[in-house]
Amino acid sequence: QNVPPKQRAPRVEDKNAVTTVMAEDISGRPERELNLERDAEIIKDKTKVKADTACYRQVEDEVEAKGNVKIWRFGDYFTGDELKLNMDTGKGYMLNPTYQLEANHARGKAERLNFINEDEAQVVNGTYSTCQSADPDWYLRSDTLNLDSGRDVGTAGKTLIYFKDVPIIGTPALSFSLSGARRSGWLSPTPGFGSKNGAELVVPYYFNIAPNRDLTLYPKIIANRGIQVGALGRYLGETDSGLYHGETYIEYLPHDREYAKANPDVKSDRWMIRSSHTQDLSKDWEYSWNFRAASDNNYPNDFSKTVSSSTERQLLRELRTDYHGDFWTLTARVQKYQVLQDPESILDPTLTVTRPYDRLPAVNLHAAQYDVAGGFDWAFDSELTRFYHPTLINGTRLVAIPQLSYPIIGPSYFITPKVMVNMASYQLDAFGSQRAENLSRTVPTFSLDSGLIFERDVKFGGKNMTQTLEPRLFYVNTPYRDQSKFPTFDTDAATFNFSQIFSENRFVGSDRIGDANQLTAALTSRFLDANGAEALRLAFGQRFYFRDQKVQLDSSTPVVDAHSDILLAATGRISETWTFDSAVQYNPSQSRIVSESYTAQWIPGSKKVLNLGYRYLRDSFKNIELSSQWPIFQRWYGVGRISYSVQDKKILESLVGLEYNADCWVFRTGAQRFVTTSTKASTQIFFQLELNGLSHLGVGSPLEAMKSSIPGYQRLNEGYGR
Amino acid sequence: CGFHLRGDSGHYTLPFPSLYVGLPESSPLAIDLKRNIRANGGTTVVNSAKDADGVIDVLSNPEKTKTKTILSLNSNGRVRQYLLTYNIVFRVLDKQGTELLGPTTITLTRPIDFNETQLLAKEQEEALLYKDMQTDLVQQMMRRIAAVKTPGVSLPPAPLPTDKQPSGQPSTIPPAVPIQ
Amino acid sequence: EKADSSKPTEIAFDQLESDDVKQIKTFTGNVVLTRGTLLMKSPKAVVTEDPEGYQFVVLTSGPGVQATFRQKLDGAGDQWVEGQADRIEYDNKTELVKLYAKARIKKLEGPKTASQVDGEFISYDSRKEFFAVKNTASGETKPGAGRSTMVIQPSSKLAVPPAPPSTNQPAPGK
Repeated sequence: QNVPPKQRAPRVEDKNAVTTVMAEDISGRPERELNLERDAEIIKDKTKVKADTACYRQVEDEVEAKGNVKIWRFGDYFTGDELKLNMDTGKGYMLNPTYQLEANHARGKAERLNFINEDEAQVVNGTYSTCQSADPDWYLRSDTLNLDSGRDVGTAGKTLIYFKDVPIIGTPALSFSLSGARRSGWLSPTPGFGSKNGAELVVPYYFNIAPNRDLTLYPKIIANRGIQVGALGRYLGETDSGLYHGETYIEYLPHDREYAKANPDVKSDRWMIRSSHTQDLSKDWEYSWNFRAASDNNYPNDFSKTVSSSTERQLLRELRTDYHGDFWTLTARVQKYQVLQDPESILDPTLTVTRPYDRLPAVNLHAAQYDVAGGFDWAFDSELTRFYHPTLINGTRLVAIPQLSYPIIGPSYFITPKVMVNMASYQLDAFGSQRAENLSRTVPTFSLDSGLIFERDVKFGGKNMTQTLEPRLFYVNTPYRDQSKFPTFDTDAATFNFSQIFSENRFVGSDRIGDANQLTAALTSRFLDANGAEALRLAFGQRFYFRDQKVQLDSSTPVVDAHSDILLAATGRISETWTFDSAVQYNPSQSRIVSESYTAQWIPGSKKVLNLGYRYLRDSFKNIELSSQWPIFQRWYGVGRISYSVQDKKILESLVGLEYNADCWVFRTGAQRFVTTSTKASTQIFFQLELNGLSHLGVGSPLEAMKSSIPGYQRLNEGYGR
Repeated sequence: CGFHLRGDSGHYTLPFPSLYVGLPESSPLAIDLKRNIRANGGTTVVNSAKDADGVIDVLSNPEKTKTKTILSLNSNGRVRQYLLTYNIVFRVLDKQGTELLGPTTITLTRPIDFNETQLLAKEQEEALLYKDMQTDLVQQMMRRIAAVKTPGVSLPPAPLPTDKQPSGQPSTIPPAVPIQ
Repeated sequence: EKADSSKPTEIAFDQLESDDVKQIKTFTGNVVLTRGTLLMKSPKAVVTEDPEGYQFVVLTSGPGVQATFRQKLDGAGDQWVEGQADRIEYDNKTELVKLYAKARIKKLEGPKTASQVDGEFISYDSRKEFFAVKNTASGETKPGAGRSTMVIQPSSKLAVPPAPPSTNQPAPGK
């Protein structure tokens, strides 16, 4: 989103302000010129000048001062040997100045400082730093330095950055922002090193084209591969028919040497594109696209820097349009997928990445009205979809689901009977030995949802709260219809959890309507504090089947259990510093746990957090997680995360980091390792020196890695722009 | 054990005769919230903030800030669980715009098991989970709004502080003493 | 004004003691000296005359009453200068006015004060409209002996409309 830079109150001189002049010796003519000798002081509105001697010309509203001059102006503070300043226009200069700015507490000294206007000052041959001590740990020396606290921008001519008096980087023109505003110019270069790519260096350039348009180029040299260019364009705007916004990122690497060696007969250009766009065509009508593509299957392994990018192997390309009526919405979508097959799947077929069906197109209608004709709610959902798949059966499916319900809602109870019919017809193309055929089905469903809400006042954790007790019963009856001949285009069994146990169909998708004669019972208890916030929630749920469940995804045997798994959940805050979240799904007939997850977070103070987590899903994963940010020693902070698969005795993801927080800079170092395939893992090393308010230099982007891996992580140098 | 049916002790009714919901017309959250306000009885929904006794001012719209982050990987580096987050920051103002309920954040999360073999089905399950979080969020918002203390609706504006020296007048210069 | 130098000096007084030998006259009791637009007042004034007939006047303040002077300035508008001090010395040859101890000079544009300066000693040359402020009653500036202050109103040339008198509604129940 286009975040506007922080605008401060404009710096305006109050023309009607009184001017007060003081000195041990004053002489001159009140209208024209006043000479002040010894301990002179001139105060006007937001400007105060002190000096040994000064001269004030009232008509021009101009001050000249000599001899340890001090000037306070709009929150900035300057000292120097000589000053000339027009208080009206803000123009003037100062010799041998030192300055301290209100923005970012930036300070420095120089040969000369030119006041351009109330907001802009130009530092000639001077230094800039956000360190508070007189002998700053880091400073930037430059021949011209434009400080502009009005637009929060500081540009510098020929510049050298010194860290502990050692010049660490020099650039022709470095643009930095006094507090995070956007400004065209080179961004700080980021070197990197990876096992596959060897050494790499990217020096991004940022074009601030317009407040609502910008372009960032990422020219990158990769030792083992060649030169890659990335470009990120963002835009936001408004036409007379409404808003539009979007973002497109392209990476292109002509002739990847490493890849050409491994695949001599294949074109060796590597590229990736990611583009999204949303645009209003009118108040109620919008269209958008979401497009992702990559040049080859190895792209994620070779170029992914983060956990998420390394796992994206099913790239969606979608073009859609939505029209909103007053109580209905029509959506038309075209979706295709590109699958980046996992190279390891040749050896281990279980790793094959499946190719989802394409929807060419899918047209959805959703209409609903509430409380009509004396309290009825009705809704109508319909979808016409053409499913295409290169290797599986193709077909066109039309589904229509009208439903009618009559909710009776009171302060402490609700009863909602509902009737719905799922009508579907399929036109299946010929596939292998099967001839093309048409299928259809109609499945009615009746459901009755009911619940009570009890309350009582209770003391919990030292505070008086309201505890609720909410029993709920949900009965569903759907007759059996043989659906074994229907293909499963977009359907799977829904995970059994509290969100799903109160929906009529135990499948997700429209290819299977589960037969049902079942009653779901649940009991929820919440602890609410005085302002209605939910401190703690406990929940229990179970479903009772009065008939076997015959409809299955494939031709497997019907399920004959009399009751479902038990669901338990507890989530909330048990003390000022501890919050936790837990959920268990227990199968009583086989008396074993199907899935459970326990997470706890402890935040005893600022910049201190500890997260613990245990997640288990039968036949899928059993992971323990621990992540923390903790002060270790004076200004040193430790950061860590480990995600360990108990089932495979393997560390899936780990991150270890150290941060040093000086008053005006932060040093971060560390490494992150995550599994990319069954045998391979990607290791990222990072170290970064962030000069508060200026920029950051170093390898990788540790801040983003720390923020995403450690929930509750707090940035050490809060409040500095980038 | 002390439990009684809700509604007897007034925890439930909203203290506003009319409410305005500061969300785009077609947003599902707005539709669901308005439906619950109407079903609450005693409160009507109005279409403009000016003539509403209470204004629900949404500072960060959950439909724009919902996120899906990786929760667990399996040993092959494949995602097995995502975490869906749905969070809102809202406040409640009265007719004059003064804040009755300061900026309040409600964050909901749901884990969703994932398997790339069922991408399309998981997409729909994701929508189901977001819908469930939306319903849960509406209930929590209703309870927060019901707990808002309104100092009696539409009081006359507070009286101005008396004989405040207009700031522009410099009070340092003594009035000039006329000499005969 | 410059025209004052061509005007005669008149002095009104209650009592007079005159010493013709040393040409010293001592006036006491609300003494008022006028010369054109120049007007000086004090409880007591001692006037000595030099051979060419120029007068040197010393006005001294009494309990609770300071010596004051007032003179019109050249230039556009109704501009006046007013001064007060414990002791004022006026030499009509050099037209220099010297104010000693708790001295104050105000420049007025009509009823409005344009600027006001306070100090221990102020000398004012009405011909060149030039003034100097020292920080000791002796007339010289001693380092560290405190500072004089001058407050200048926003220059009237900008014809800044005076702030409308704010009508304070009577607060209820006042």
